[in-house]
Amino acid sequence: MAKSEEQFKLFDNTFEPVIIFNKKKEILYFNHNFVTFSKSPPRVLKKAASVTDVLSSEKIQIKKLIDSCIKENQAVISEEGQIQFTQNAEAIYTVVIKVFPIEDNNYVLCLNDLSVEKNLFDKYRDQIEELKSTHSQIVQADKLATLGELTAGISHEINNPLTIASGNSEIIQMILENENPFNQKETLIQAINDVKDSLERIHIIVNNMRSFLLHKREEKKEYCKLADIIKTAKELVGPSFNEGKVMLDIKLQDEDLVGLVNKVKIEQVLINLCKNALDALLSAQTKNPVVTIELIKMPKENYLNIVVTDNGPGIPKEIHEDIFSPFFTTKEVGEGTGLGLSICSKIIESHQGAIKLESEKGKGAKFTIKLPVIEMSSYSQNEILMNQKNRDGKRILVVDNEVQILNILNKFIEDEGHVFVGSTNGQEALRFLESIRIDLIITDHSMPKMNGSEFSKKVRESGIKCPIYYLTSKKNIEHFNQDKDKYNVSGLILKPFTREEILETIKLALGETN
Amino acid sequence: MSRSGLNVLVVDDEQKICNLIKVFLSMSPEIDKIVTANNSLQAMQKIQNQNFQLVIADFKMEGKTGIELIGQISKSYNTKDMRFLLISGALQKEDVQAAMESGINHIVVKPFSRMQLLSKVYEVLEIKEP
Repeated sequence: MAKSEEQFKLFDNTFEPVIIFNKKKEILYFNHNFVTFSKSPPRVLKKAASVTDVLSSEKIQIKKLIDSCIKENQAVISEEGQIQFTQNAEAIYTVVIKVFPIEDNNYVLCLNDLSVEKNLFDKYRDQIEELKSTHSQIVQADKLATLGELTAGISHEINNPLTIASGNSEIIQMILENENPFNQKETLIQAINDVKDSLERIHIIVNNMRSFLLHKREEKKEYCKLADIIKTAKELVGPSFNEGKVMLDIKLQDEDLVGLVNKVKIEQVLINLCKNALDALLSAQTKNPVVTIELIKMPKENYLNIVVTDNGPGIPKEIHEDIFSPFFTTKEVGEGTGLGLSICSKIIESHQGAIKLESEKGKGAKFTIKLPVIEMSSYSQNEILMNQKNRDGKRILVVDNEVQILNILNKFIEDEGHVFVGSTNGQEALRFLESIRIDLIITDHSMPKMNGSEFSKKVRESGIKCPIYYLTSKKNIEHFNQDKDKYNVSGLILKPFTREEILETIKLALGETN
Repeated sequence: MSRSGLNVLVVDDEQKICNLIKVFLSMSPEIDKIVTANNSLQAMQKIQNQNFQLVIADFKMEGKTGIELIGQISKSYNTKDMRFLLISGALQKEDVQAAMESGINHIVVKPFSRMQLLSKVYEVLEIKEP
């Protein structure tokens, strides 16, 4: 026993609190650290009948842990949990417990105190949460400020339809007060239609404002036509441009270009850039002021470009680097938050894109937003998601020129844990297939730039053997029959489809490859 | 300034508002003829060809504003027997000042009812309200 006691004393040198006990769970020794850590008097500790009388925990089943160590005769480690000591119930520690056998059928229970780490972790987590909420408040404040600046113009825009609606309702009232109102039936109908149209105009304006401010699925990205986003942004800034007599020109190389984006956020970026350009043009009193928004996609480039150009005073080279940092502003105090461009660049970064400035003093400014083509953005985004949860997921390429179809299929396929890659255009899809391996292709048949048959032909020519399914309406069924053997098209999904049909087809198709 | 055969020119880039004013005014027997124009260029052409006793112009229009248009008319023509009404949403203080300086007699705020419009029209034309 004396020999053991000597050995036990070795544990006085360790940093961890340690109790040594025998097979009957009787305490044989506790090191110095245990006394200080538990703040229990040694006298009381010595009296304790069993090791489980000294400390307790709700989460960690200490008794079970010890029993399993004794039974298996090997070290066991608990999960992280809170413990307290019988003698000092107020102090609660977050620990991991390790129990391991030593000589003479004795055992060591050792505590690894994580309280400090836990506290730090909690503190940092709280601070990060706080920062996150502050950040979203700032973003919201900047949006409010932007909208506030646009309000004067927008209220004018509402005033006109309001006048038409109220005036025409007065006309309707006057006609109805006549003896025989139906003599003026046509005037009545015209007046009612004018009221309806005007209310619709107001509705659109108010809706644009509201969806700009309150976007519920703030982080959600969807397949959207970029032209639509540019047009909505124009609706919102248009009145301010009219008021300042500044031209706002839109040049769309291709109306059908689709991005995988958060619509409201991209809208916010465009409004910000346009508003900045407008302010610059007005304060410099530029002659024939013009702001142009262009949508450009270069063939074989992996980026879609939205370019906002103005012919204003330009931005001096010295501040090009600062311009995207928060709180940098050249405007007077109180005239803007200085956050616009920093928020813009964060938004574009969150789309795996980039925002670039080209400008020289006196030569106007040109901001280029580069957004990845949808094949790339959907692939990279979903591949990351899949790596986090489902390693058995497959890559499924869907080619359809209708964004609604892509959005629905994206949801179905993503929920099943597969990687969804969307494409609206066979040529782009082929370019993507050159570099990334795909497990299944689902393609629409009638598409403007390259139809399903041509696409399948090219896919097979490039030696890709994965199953192809056509997604088409009943009237195009003969294309499937023609191509079935020629391009080895495995099957057909008829529009309209249900979720079950899609999932069934995918299961079947992926089964084939295995 | 009671007289018969009053001619009115209505200038607004929104045709529906022109129509509305036309309907409102056509119900009053004192007014003889109502001509509409959608911008200041058209308005200047119509003024050249015809005498108007009242010009009603919108403030915010593509191209020249209503104030600028009325200023131009005042400079180019003898406007002793002409009256000017400006139609507008909310105006800034500076705009009201500019309006008064350009020779505008009254301002009608949008949206307006038929009575609000007519009472201002009668007031500037010095017609007794019926």
